[in-house]
Amino acid sequence: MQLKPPRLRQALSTAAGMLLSTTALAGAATEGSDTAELASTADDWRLDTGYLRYEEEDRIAADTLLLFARKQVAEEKFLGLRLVLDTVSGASPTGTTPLQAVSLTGSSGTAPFANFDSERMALGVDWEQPVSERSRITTKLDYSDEEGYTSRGAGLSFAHDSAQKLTTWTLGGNYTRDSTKPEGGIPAEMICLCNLVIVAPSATKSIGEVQLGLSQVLGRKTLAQFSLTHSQSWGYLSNPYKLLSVVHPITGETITTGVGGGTTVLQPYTERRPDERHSNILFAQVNQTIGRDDVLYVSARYYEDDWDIRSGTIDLKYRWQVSPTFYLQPRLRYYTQGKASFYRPVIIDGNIPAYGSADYRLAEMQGISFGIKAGWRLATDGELTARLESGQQTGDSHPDGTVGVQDQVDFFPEIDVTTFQVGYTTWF
Amino acid sequence: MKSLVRHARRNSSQRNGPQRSRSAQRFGRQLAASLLALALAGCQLAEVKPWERDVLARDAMQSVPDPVEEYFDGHIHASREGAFGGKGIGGGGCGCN
Repeated sequence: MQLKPPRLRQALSTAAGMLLSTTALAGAATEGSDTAELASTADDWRLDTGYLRYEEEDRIAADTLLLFARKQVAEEKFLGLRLVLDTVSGASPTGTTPLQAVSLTGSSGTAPFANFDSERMALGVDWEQPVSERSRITTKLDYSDEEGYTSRGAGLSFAHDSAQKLTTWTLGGNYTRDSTKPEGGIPAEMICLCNLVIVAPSATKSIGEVQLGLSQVLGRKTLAQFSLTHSQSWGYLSNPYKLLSVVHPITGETITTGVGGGTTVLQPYTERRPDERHSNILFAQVNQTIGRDDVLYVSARYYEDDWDIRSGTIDLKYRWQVSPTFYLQPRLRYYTQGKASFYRPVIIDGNIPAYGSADYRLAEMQGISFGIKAGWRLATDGELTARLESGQQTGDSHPDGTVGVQDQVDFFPEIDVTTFQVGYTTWF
Repeated sequence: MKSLVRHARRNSSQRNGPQRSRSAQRFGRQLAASLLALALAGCQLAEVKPWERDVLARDAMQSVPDPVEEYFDGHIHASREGAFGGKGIGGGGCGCN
């Protein structure tokens, strides 16, 4: 079997490059391998296309189309292009309790679920070039736009291989600036809808990230990668559409009875999150070839931030190479997270907190999903993949901070999730 | 507006100060442990000669064998869960309502 050392450099470079980019690097074929490899040395372009359908039962559904193109424009120089089109629609929780009363003149937007519809387009470009025999630099630009939200980002990373090319260190940074311009403007935070003030037509949020990565060959059939990421976000970090119900301190109802006997609906409050968020992430992945052609992928991620969210993720995949041109890949993912310090299901009337959000994504939760993926090599021109996954998100149905009738409410009903994906990759 | 932001930033720093310090200490310990583990692992690495790198060069052994799946997964989980990132950085944001 003839081997091409540059292919391994590409493999390690991919491990490093992927720390910043979502596209894999090009590489030369390995002649005589038992599985049909995709690329040949004559190919300049690699094209990855995909369609995803994501559904949460009785909630939202999303359709996504993506196109990734990567071209080797010169020796060791690569250009990557990305286009993603998204549509998301359905019913999303507003954060109010299912027992939220609506006043005669109240807005229907205080109901526990609100329908929405959004379309998003994202573009990206990256450029990789060598700076020395064993080092390379990658620059990256990202842009996305949807109604009411625009994101712009730029990143730079540096990768260095060891002399034996079994180790690659990477150091990367990225800065993203998002602008949110919701319909109706940015509401004042932690304020009653009955006293609503619009503070600005739009607001910005910035995210700075730094990542140190290591890709290490541990053996003839084993590749490991590690990364440490520190991220800081600042600016407007709240969600302008999310609310918190205010409840009576004894009955827990969202109405209060006045001295004269008349009842008043307690209007919800807008949420308020801190205007800074610092996070640290530790990630590790091992690719282990089993037997001749199968591969086991094991990855783990630990996340923590100063909103008090701690989370752990385990992801297992097993690629069963059934034949040289067909594989099956079952997958198991488990996710667990602790709640943000300011997450609360409701606000108790008379005790308005400095910060608060009822967004279930900041609550204590677990997620588990099972999936199966199949891949077919189509002669030497391309690969077709299809993936189906089913999972559930569960969480704390009775979190701290409820009173009266709210003690009976399920604040985290189970969410059933289905994901379907098809993809096609080709070289030319 | 500016005074509101300054006030909020002060409050945030005051509230987050002790938490961030504990968090930084914990992360520092984890970092040290990880680097130590890596250093020890490095001492025991089998040397893989250039002519033995056939398996490592296969598509399936790349860090990201399927960039389409990688993108979809990262985007979905970042928008439906509290944690985000870890494997890559950057990549574009969204309203994620």
